Amino acid sequence: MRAYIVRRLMQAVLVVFVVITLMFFLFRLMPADPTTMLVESGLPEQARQDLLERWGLTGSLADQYWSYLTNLATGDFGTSFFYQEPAWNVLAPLILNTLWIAVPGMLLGALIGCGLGVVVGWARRGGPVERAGIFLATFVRGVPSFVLGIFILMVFSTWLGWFPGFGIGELGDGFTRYFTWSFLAHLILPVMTLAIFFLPENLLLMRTGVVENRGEDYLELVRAKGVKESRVAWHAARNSLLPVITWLFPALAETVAGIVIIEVVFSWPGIGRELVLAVNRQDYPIAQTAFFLLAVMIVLANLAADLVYAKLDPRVSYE
Amino acid sequence: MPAQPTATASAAPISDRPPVSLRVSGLRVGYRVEQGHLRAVDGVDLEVNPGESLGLVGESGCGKSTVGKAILRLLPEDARVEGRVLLDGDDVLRMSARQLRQIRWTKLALVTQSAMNALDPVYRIGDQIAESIVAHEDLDRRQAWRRAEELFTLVGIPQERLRDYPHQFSGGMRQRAVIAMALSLNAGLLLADEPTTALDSIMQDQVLAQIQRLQRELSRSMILVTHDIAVVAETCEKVAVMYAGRITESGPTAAVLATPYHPYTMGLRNAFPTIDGDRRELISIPGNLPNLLDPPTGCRFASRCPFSTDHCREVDPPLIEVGPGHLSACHYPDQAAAFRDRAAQRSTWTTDPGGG
Repeated sequence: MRAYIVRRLMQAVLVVFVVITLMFFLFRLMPADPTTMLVESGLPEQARQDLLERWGLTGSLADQYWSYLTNLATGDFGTSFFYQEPAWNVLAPLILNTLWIAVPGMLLGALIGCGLGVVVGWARRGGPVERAGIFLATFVRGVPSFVLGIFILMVFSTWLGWFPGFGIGELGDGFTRYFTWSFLAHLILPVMTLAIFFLPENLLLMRTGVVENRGEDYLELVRAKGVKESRVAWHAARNSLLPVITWLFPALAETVAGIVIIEVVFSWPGIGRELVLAVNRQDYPIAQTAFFLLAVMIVLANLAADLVYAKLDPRVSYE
Repeated sequence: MPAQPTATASAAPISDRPPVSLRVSGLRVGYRVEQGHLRAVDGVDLEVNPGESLGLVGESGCGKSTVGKAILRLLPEDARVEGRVLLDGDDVLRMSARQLRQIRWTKLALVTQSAMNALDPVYRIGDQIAESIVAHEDLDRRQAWRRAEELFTLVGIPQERLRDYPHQFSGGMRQRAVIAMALSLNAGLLLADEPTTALDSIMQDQVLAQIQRLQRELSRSMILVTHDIAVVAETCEKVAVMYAGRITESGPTAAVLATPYHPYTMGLRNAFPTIDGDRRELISIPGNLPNLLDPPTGCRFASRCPFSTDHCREVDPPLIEVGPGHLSACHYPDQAAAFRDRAAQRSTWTTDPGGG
């Protein structure tokens, strides 16, 4: 088991390295170098050369790549044009903000989605529960995350006025800075949006799994043992969980895209919103660093899903 | 050979349960399908007295497994089941969900074919056995686990393998685990549905011998559903032969197999290599089961029977008594001896049926 985790961690590091490399070349494919914007705003030629040197943009592509890697390795993500501060210092405080939406939102969406999936999957085939469940899940899945976000913002913030829909609220100080009512109130709508965004796919996959497992031989034996019907359904649910977790791997990337949009809709100061702002401001080091952070989050989440899968399916060997 | 169960002092307190009697009468199972009404089982009567073993044989598709599942009420919701299944006098088909849950595994336990996935792949085998125990006995998980250890000893698997998952077991071990599970509550009747089909012939013999020994030692009633008439010959006191959803012949195994009165039984006897160590020539029965959506009038076996007459194709033969407790649904019981002689010859089955 330990060897397995170590190997998966090394794979994760490799993936991050590939992402970094891709980022390097993708950004270099863009027309003009990053100083172009600054030149237009009247930067003296000497200063421009200094900047290019500082950012490692002089010399051959290989040299640039090397200095880019060494900078990253030492934690130097470059300096934001907009904030005139190291990109890392700008983004680091936002990592937790993003996780505050991402983790509860996805967990809630997965838990409720899987729970409902079992209910819908166990319901009579062709009955009202199955029809309504599939219809609603398919409908919600078709709604883009920004439409969903705006809708929830309108209903719960603008019309009902139950929760604030803008920003992160008043934060406290230090380690316990998130433990304020204001923060929690602001947290509810974005988390709810992400949960609803993430839920339908979980529901539909879980339902498919349960429907397939309903016909399996082992369920017949479980039922023959005279256990409660809910217990029989539990066996089906437990087996249906495996494909759902397999699906999580590719879905995580898509969900991160959803988080970016939800942060923008709710003006939530997270990595995603900062990424969009940075792109609009052509604040290149910030954008690059935000990409990097999101990629690391996806890789780590994948790793977690992988380990959970190994835990849930005894047939997966760690060797 | 497996050791005897550990001393009773340390045994888990499982209620003692007497063997049960089963009386099935007029059992019909139908499915509404696109093309019409499919009669999978069409009027089956069976009787198993306490402690008795009955073999239910027939080729695949004859409805024997459907009968087994109907007795346990494990058929899918769209199946239409009629008739009576009296378990110690109580009709299983008319029980409430709660009553049904109570008799399952205490009066009626199932040994399924464990080839593919009779066991839940993601639970430890011990937990799956314990699950059946805690559902019915007032025991905690630890006591239930101890009972599972006793059962594994009984079927000859090391106790520590209870912690394994099904995929870590060989086919034969899985089958024995399924048997152990069926014995967990001293259920009065064991229903074994093709318990040896998925095993190689050496394992088949071992498992069969084990089922037979346990059934006798523990004096359980048993129904053994199988396509293999040789298995029934070795294991069961009584036999019922099914064809196309009906019983064609039934009675004491020795009588039915030694002096079959129904040509289908004679054919089945040819299709298996050894009965009582007696080596016969393997002859298969040509043709297929009739379409159960639109069963032919008259005898259902007539289209494949080498001895069938016009009368057979027009009039449905009733089950009539041909010996003590021996019933056969053939119009010509008086010609059975001649049929038996002819049925033993390959040429009888290869020429086109239809003569008289």
